[in-house]
Amino acid sequence: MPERELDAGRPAPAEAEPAAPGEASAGPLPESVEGMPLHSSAAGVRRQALLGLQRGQGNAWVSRQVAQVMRQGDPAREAFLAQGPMPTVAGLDMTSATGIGGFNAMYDPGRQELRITLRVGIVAVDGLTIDPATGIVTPATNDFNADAAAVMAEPDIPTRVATVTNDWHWPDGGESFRARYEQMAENAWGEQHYFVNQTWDDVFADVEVDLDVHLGAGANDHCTATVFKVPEHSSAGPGAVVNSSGSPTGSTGTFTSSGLEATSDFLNYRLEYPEGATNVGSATGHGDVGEGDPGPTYLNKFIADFQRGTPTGGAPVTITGHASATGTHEVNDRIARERAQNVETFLRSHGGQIADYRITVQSEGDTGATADAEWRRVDIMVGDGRPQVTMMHETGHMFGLDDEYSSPAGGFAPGAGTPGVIGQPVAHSGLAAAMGPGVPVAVSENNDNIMSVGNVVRPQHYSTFHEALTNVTAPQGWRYGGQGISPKAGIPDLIGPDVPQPDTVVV
Amino acid sequence: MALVFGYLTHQRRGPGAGMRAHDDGQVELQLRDGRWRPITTLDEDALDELREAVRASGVLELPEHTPRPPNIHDGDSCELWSDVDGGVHAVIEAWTDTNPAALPSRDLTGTLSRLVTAAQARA
Repeated sequence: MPERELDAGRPAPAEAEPAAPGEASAGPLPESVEGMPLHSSAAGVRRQALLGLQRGQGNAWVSRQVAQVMRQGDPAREAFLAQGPMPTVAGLDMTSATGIGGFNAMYDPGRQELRITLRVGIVAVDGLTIDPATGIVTPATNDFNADAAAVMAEPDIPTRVATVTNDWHWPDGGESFRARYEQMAENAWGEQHYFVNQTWDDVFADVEVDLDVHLGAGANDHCTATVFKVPEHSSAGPGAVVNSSGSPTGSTGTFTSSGLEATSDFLNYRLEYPEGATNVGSATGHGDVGEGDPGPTYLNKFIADFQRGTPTGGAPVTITGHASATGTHEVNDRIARERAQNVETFLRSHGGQIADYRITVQSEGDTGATADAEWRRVDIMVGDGRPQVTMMHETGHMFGLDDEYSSPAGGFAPGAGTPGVIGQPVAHSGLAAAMGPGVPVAVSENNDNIMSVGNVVRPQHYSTFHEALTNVTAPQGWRYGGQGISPKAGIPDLIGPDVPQPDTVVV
Repeated sequence: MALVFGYLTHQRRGPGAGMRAHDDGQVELQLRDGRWRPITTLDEDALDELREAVRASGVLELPEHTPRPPNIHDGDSCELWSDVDGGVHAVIEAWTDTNPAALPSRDLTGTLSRLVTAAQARA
């Protein structure tokens, strides 16, 4: 489209290319005009009228009129968009059909935005306290009994006091946790996907997630979160828990200060090798699980944990071979490559659970390596490999989502946690299916999903938001639109604002 | 050596924390590293109090496995042992203050903790 056509704002008859006599019907029409429904009997007349308007008023003016006509073509659409915030500006406090968590939803048709608000009251509690006079350490709850006894084992009372004060007391009453949690959760959960109206495919719902995280419990909080201060990077205390009340407000959670970190890594695994060895049988497992396992045992546990949940499912697996810097580059390249290929062969050939298409093999040779034994290894990464930040997963429960992880028999930690059965539906499966095409089946499966053992918010994790949108805009229907924000925000306004045109001839 | 009472939490990625008291008074501690190590010794009075607490707590009647309630998501599990009166070995999922099924055993660990703290303070 010529630039002059985009530079709207006033008629530009002087710049408009006049049609040659007798060629009016063959002249170029704006794309939007070509798409207009012209009645065949009047087509020629309308076309002539349009060309006359183009000549007289300029292409930009005509384009604006056409756009206005198209936008105003459906009174129901216009009425919907003019309704204002739905159901009201205060939104709707709701619990998902999953029965989990609770949050507030409001759709603003003017902004084409679904606003999800989560009110979380933080009750910040010191994990341990100490009487400086007696040195007696008191645990905040029975979850800290062993930690209290461990500190009490220190004979020097001032040292105990320092330990408790530095590691187990909130330095700021929990304010830094509050602010960081609010920001992290909004970034993690907001604008990951959008929805499209089922009647009007140019009406969207971008998803803004607004966390109102405040210190102290409020009567209308969706969740009251008790957060215990523990040492940095520590997994001390109760495992993170969300306890749903069954109503929109009143859920409770129990967390620790390290919940904004990744305290457990479920996505990265390592086999270590003797010098020069490349076969799986000579390797041993390394990590917080499976440490010292023989290579085949370690990989069989890996296969059990990351078996596919659906016939076409399963997270991507990246195998990277390394070699220490001992020896020549050529030999090290071969060793690293063989190590990775042997792991690949093992994963492909055992049980068919790690499908070929899931596996990527790469070799780093001795790149960046030293002579240290730790470089004689193969790294196995699942999905994007980012260890889960606990509170982001727990926030998913507050949004009504179920767990998707599993601790299957034969895996690294069989039975640990609250396992689903790999491949079986989870509580939000039905809601995810209702989102329409493009939404993966929601089943239990270990992968980098936020509700499994990773951080990725996938389409099915917006299923309770979709449910909320449908509720607050009823009887409107919506379908999954895509990742990120909708096209409405990405298309520049080529026409400019509408300008009332007296004496306009609407074609 | 019989166990008067012991417990160990299990996190999703491995052993959590716990304590166990043997009938000779020795108390061991485990702190997320999978190893029991001695922490203090209970006297006979404390052991008797712990035995009575075990009997009164109801943990001896616990089933082998208490599943997670549907309204609770995530959370550690807890493994419990006692050789008192025939003994018990039980696992409770979602071992939290908000799980009613967990409360008797949680109170019992509190009793053990109080006795351990008193012994440590005397030492």
